[in-house]
Amino acid sequence: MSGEDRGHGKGRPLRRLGIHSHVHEHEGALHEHAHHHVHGAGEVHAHGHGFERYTLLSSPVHALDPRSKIVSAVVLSLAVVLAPPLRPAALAGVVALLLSVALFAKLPLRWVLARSALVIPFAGTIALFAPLGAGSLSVGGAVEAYSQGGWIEAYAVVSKAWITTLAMLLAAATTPTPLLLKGLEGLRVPRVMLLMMTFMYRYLTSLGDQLSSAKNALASRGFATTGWRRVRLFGNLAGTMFIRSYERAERVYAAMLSRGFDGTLPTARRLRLRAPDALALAIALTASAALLLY
Amino acid sequence: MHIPDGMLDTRTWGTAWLGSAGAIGYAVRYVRTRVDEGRVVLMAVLAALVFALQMLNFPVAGGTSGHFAGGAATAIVLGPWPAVLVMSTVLTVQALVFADGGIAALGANILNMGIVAPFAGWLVYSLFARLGRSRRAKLAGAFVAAWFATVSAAMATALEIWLSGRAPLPLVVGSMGFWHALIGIGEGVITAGLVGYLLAVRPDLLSAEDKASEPTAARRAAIGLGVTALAAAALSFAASAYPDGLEYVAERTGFTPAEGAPTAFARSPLPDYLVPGIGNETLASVLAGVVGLALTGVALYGLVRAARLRRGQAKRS
Repeated sequence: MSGEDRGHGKGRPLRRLGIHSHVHEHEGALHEHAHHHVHGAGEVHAHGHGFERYTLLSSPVHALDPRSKIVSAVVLSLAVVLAPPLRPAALAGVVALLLSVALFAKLPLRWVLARSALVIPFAGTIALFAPLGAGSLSVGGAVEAYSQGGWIEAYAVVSKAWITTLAMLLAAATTPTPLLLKGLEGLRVPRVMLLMMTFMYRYLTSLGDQLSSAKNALASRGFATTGWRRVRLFGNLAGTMFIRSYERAERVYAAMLSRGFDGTLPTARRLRLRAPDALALAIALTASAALLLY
Repeated sequence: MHIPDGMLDTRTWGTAWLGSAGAIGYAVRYVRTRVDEGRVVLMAVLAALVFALQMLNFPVAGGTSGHFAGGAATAIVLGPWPAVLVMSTVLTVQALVFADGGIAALGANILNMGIVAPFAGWLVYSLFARLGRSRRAKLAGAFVAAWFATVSAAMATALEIWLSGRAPLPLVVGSMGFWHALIGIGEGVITAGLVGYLLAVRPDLLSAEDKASEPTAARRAAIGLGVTALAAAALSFAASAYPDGLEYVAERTGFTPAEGAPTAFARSPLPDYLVPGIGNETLASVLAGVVGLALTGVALYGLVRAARLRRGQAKRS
């Protein structure tokens, strides 16, 4: 599809889906960066940053109702946790299912694998000792435990940690954060917690910006320190950022109240369960039942 | 310290989930009825801050690094119950959005970092606050509280991993304790820095001392433990009816240790989660759960009681 790199001019058909990069114009300047097109929004393109990098892609998985994605991922995770250690066929089946979801969602497979593999070092450390159980620690005991089939326990810990991470990662990576919050609201998460999550989402970026500008300010003044002084500096930095954000939040909250905020967060988009959602839930439930029953 | 799924066995994560769900339910009610709305904004900003700061790594000896967790700091600023809600929200978002920590294990993660850490930190800080009202006493209190909160959370994590039969007790307690005793120093310095800054700039925001003088803390702790005990009892029923996934395969593949071989809990007073001398296995395991929790409850109640007595004496003198 590289022949179609023509930028985002008017009148040109929108053909490319998924992440791509070419010179284009927006905000009055020509530039090139990775971006993707928003589902159903015509020529508009969007680029998520950081953890939201792939949430604005346009794909059948992205179009699913957030509730069905959350429920599917949670049900599948619980089934994997509750099931006996996965046999090779079951493991291959679940991984194939999850990776095909990633392909459908147009997520880069390398990113999905690398990101989900982050859990392996921690899980692996504990898994090494799992065959010993809660027993005593000795080299002889370890050798004996492994030779008696204890490696199955180590394998179970690592494989389950990885697969559940993969499942949750796919749900989160294909859902824009505001919709994810809307989905949680639909799943009856307490309103106080939702309000906090919404504020967290709003302030995380501004806190991040403040943090990086503070770091730039320090670096540009030739500030270089290590060890405990650095830790102390973090404390003061945390204090400054906290007061600044709090005072801003006080103003924002007063503004929200004066505009009739009653504790609910209205959004234009209504959540609706449709046929693809039923299909996704059915697949997740079938896979979970198969894992538990066979 | 975020436990992924697959590491804990079903009864451990299930019990932890029920216990944390009860605590979160109480915290939601507490915030809804007793915390005014302006302070909810403070909670939300603090949640975002804790979240952002958890991304800052600082070096610990030996090339490893730790990061700020924020349980104690949140409790010092907000008091323990709002802190439970803030930390639970942060941990839930981390599990759902960042796949950091498992879904089944989320209950245990909330228990360790969202309940144990804030309460441990708040207890220590309010003890120090009673020793002296000077700035120095408060800063020292914040430092020790944060260190204590970090180590307590690490110990709770280690205990859960051990209870799940995934590692020998001395190993998990030793390694988690060692690293978190070091990480706790960093946490303590950052927390003390944050509290010192707040004392200088907005002392009105620090409310833990007022909260500390509420007389019903012990009653609340008792209610929480009661809920957890009920949950544990309910879960033991389920747990004893079906074998654990691992035990199931162990039985099928035949790698269970030979009869009579020393198993995990053979030397503990309640071997294999059963109260000895009771015929009915289900009943025995339910009782074992309740006995364990009752012991914890008595210990906690004694601690709170002692703290209250001391406070009473301090007031009279």
